[in-house]
Amino acid sequence: MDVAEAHALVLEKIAYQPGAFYGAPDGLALGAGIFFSNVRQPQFDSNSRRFRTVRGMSYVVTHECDVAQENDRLFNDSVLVCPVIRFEEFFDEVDGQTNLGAFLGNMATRNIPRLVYVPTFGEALPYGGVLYLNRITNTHVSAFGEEGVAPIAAVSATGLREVDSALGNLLMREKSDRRWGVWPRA
Amino acid sequence: MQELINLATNLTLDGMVGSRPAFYAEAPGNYWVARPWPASSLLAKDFEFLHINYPTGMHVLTMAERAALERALWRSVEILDEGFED
Repeated sequence: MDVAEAHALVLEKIAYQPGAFYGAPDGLALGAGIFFSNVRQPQFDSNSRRFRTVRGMSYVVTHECDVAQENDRLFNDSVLVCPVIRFEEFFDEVDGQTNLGAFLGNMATRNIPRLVYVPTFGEALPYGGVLYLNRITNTHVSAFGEEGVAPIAAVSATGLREVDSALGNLLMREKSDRRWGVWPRA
Repeated sequence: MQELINLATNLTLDGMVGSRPAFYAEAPGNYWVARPWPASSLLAKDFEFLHINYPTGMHVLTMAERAALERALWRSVEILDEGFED
């Protein structure tokens, strides 16, 4: 299997039309659903056991109301971002795994809660990308004003539903361990 | 069904942030999304409910898959500094 075949397999399995995933980023305030290039952020390196400062394409998770700089409010200068792994690099690393087809299919159908496939977007993501939800991290709002940082894509309502439902599943799915009490609140 | 709508509606009213949907887990792998309709929370007079079947047979990543994922992540970013010792 090469990257084009892997990409085709993923597209065959996703539950929405890939062309409906994105909208235009123009005019949108910094906030959830926008992909930015070169976002500065910390990531933990398990080999060196240190947090490294990196920059890379990222998806904004924080709602725009919580980072609106025109609001003179406390706690509005940190932004949650999720790194985006380009699909071709993802494929290079998983190529050769046993049951690769099943692995890719499970990612496309969101059987892997911490991963979300995002479709092709021009030259920035020629085969799409993978949101690694358990690597969501925070950065300062000023990181979005740095040189080379720009909005490159924004999800549509379809795309937002896909990512938000994945986040809901990741963060809010029923615990395996039994808990006392009632949820949701009565 | 009415009980479910009541639960989802209460959850939405209780936890709504802007026009983001609220989630109600009916059962593992079986969720309802309640979101204001029209989309603007200021204008919302109703809710739309979307039923989402999450997969129930989760794929548990193998050690090799997890390691590949980590390597792919580091290939996708530019390292600006190597971090600091304790």
